[in-house]
Amino acid sequence: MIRGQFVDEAVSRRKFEREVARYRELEGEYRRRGWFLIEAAFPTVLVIFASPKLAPKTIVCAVRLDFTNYDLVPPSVTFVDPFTGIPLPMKSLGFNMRRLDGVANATPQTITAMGQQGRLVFQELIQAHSPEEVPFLCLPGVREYHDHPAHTGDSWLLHRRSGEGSLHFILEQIWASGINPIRNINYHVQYQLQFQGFLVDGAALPR
Amino acid sequence: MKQPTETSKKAAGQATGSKNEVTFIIVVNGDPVSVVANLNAPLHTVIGKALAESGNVGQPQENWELKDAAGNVLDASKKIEGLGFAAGTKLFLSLKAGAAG
Repeated sequence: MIRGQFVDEAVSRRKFEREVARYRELEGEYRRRGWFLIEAAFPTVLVIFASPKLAPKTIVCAVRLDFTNYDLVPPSVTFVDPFTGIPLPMKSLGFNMRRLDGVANATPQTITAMGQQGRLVFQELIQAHSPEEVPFLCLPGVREYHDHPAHTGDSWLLHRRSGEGSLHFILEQIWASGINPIRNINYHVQYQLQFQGFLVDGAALPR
Repeated sequence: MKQPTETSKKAAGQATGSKNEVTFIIVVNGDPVSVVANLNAPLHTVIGKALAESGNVGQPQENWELKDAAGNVLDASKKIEGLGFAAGTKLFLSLKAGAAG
């Protein structure tokens, strides 16, 4: 019996297996995007995201999804160390998930120009209350979003039949807002090479 | 994946028996379906068909975005013929994420 499981486990297991089977059907496409599903044993899935656009090809993050009580409850999403599986605090994450605000109809050229002028407004999708805390993905379809006191008016049950909260949906959001826009790595050279962050193409961010 | 029609079995992602038709594989929120489209129609015509075929009827069509494999949002108002899709191209129909933060 899975700890904390109150939904009939057979139901959650079957839905979990359906999600994983759908992933496996498109695994080749996902791999080309830099998604690697390396563990899938009910109730968790571990996926590593790499950026195929960087040289050398670089692991950006790993994410664990917990499907306990799925889908009466949406999956829990935790960013973890890809080598140890230990949840990462905000300060160690090393990448952002962002969405552009207020430029729904702007062309990529306009967004690039606005970015050069420092006029783009971003919405941060990964939130934490301090750099020491494990961050959460603040998005409908994710357990931590619906459990947050600020979102008591946006119940998961309003989203449950929408397609949000599926394995594909959550991985797609992470990729679209955090991985796909990455174009380069920013290093700072001072005595030694120091990682400063990824450089992203603002025009490739979701709006 | 949903079972393709007889036409799409013959030529998934290619022109069908009719010279004005093409069959796409549309991945709807992770679920691939086969859709036959008229080359002279705008791309958005495949969205409604793909949603119906996959059973995703809970969200209005404007809540979905059609993307290529690289994640680029496609202009659904353009004519399919002019978009120059190669044979076997998979397109991705993705649900727009809701309000966050």
